[in-house]
Amino acid sequence: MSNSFSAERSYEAPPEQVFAAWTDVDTLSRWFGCGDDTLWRVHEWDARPGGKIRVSLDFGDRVFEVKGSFVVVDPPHHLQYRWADDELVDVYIEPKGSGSLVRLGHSWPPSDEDRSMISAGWSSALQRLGPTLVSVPSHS
Amino acid sequence: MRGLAARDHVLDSVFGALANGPRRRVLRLLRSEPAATPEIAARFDFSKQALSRHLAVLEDAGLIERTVHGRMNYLSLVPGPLQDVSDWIVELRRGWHASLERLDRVLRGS
Repeated sequence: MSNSFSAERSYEAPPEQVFAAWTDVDTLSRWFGCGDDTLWRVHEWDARPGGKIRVSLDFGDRVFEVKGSFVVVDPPHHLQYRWADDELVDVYIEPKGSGSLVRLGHSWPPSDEDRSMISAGWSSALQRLGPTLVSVPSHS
Repeated sequence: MRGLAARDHVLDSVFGALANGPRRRVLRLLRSEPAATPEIAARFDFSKQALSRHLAVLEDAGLIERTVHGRMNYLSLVPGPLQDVSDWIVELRRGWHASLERLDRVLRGS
């Protein structure tokens, strides 16, 4: 399993508006979620360097909470925040035509399995490969 | 960048190839180094026909490639399609895809 997720998306809105969609809590609460139909409930989202993040998902019988903090807040270009204990999210926004291009990166530390592969001196391709083979679902 | 339909097609064939225990074991055998067909046959309880069928499925999915040295066929693992699968799973687990779609709708609406 690789330890990062990256994506590029184009939006029709200008960078300022896209940046605001990431920093304004009311706007953020309309789209920022976890999966197809679950939106994070945003308790704290203080978009200043060092500002706190606290969001939660309510599953009825239990609440899943994530805390973090902002590292870089550079409107309307770059937003970087820590997520959970040891994850990092980078949002780069640049103008593209009359709209914007968003480049998103979300990384987390390699799993123990990845680490053992690295220490065994495997090539980078194989580092990715080994855990992948183990973790691929086996049902048909 | 590949289109969605092309990516779906790749994932369909890779997941199909992986949806079989013996084929996953063949991949595991090949993950450290290439092996010749008789070596693979010796490690598994396949009939000759079953082995060549499994290898053909893995090859069609782009998961292995064949090199011919003299009379021997060497099979080696190709990491690319597994990375596609891995990326797909990471994407699913992180849930970003749906969020980025919703962001698009929010921006269009506001």
